[in-house]
Amino acid sequence: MSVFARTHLPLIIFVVCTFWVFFEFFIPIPGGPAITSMLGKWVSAVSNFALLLGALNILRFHGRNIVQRRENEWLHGIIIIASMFTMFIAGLAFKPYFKLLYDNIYMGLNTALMCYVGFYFYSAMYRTFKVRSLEALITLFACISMLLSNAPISGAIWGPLPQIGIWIANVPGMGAWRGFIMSAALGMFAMAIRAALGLERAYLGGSE
Amino acid sequence: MSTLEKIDKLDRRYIFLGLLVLSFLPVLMPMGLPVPIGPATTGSYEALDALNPGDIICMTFDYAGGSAAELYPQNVVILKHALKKDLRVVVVAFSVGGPEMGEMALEESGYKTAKAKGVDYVNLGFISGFETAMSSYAKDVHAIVSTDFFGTPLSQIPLMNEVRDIESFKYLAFTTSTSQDHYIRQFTGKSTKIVGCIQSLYFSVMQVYMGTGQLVGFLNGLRGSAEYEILTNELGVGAITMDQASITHLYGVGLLIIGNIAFFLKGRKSGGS
Repeated sequence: MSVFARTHLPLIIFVVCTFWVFFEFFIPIPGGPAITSMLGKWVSAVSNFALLLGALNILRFHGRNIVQRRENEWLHGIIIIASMFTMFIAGLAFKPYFKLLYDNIYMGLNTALMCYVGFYFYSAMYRTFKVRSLEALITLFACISMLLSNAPISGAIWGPLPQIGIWIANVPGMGAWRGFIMSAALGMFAMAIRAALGLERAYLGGSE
Repeated sequence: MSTLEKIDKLDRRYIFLGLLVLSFLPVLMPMGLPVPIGPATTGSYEALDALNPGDIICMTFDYAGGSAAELYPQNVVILKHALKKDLRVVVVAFSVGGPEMGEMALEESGYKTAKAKGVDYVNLGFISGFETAMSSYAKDVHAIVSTDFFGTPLSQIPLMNEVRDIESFKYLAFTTSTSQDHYIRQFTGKSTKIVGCIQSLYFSVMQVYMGTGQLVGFLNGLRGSAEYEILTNELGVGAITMDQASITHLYGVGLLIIGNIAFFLKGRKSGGS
């Protein structure tokens, strides 16, 4: 593939689309919204291809593990590929079975996995959250206050107790988040300008 | 090994066991603790309650089974409230697992049995492209969606004849297990009242957006759904699990305090010897 097709063409498409969407937002152009809407549809279509690519990647990765009989992995590979095809076929041709599998197996397994993580949160609270500095002490205080503000029992223990956590969330927490959101937005804006000017090319597959 | 060291290095299986026992205890012996209702939930409730019968609302379902424990009861109670108010609902998902969650919530809330599909409710299914898709959806729903979740063309769905863009909805509740910024960027600033259904993890972030007035309210995890259930008098999973939440949160606080006391005393002992 030529350098033009590999690097310049995607860059031109990116820059033209970025500037079009940006200026169309601020300047009324006849027929502009229809073109922007079409671009949005294209993004949606490309994202669908990304999903297909993900499915193909699963097949390639786990298929290789199965063919090579990799220890501790090939059996998992069979389960993953079989599950994927079962859901795929059920979703396409047997909707009631898809719903049955989704509600009774997928949901249960997914919830169990999340609950499993919850147990480790509690273990981490006890074993790793140790006060070794002033910052850690402040974090611990904020953490306990937030836990108590979220537990209905805390108000029954002492009326103003939940208010401490709410104050932390509303005053220092909100201030910190506002700063974080604004700096992240400015960073994103700077990044978008760099990309639109062709200075950011990591998405082309390299830093050059 | 001294008692202090034993406490400091407590086997995590005991911590797991404690959590397991404390999770079941309130189910066997409910305490019925009062649940104070916060302004975020009240705002969400009042915005929906102020709507007129026949108004159209939208609900996004952007999560799957893993986050369902916290988010699904919120969706169900909002839909139950909407059903009571005789509102029409458009369900949409920007995450792959969402449409099924939407179907489940429509069924459990009673929409599927009490209302007509396509007339009073519709599930538009999954739209890929995440934030770009949200942007397109907000500008022109028909430009980005051509059929509903079951393949029916939008032109054959009476409800969709009244939906053009986001301002066709009087109220939009987004439900997400990840970042909320995309919804804020694409959906706020219009006439539609926006409510967030989130996991407790994002409580502080949502406070920011409520402070700026971009959100009329939000539901904070299971606690949020419990508060909403109390307001609507539709007690469900949220309210039932509040005793559990109280006990397990106190357990967490206890673990933090005991762990740190043991750590502090052990440090003093080893420093002093």
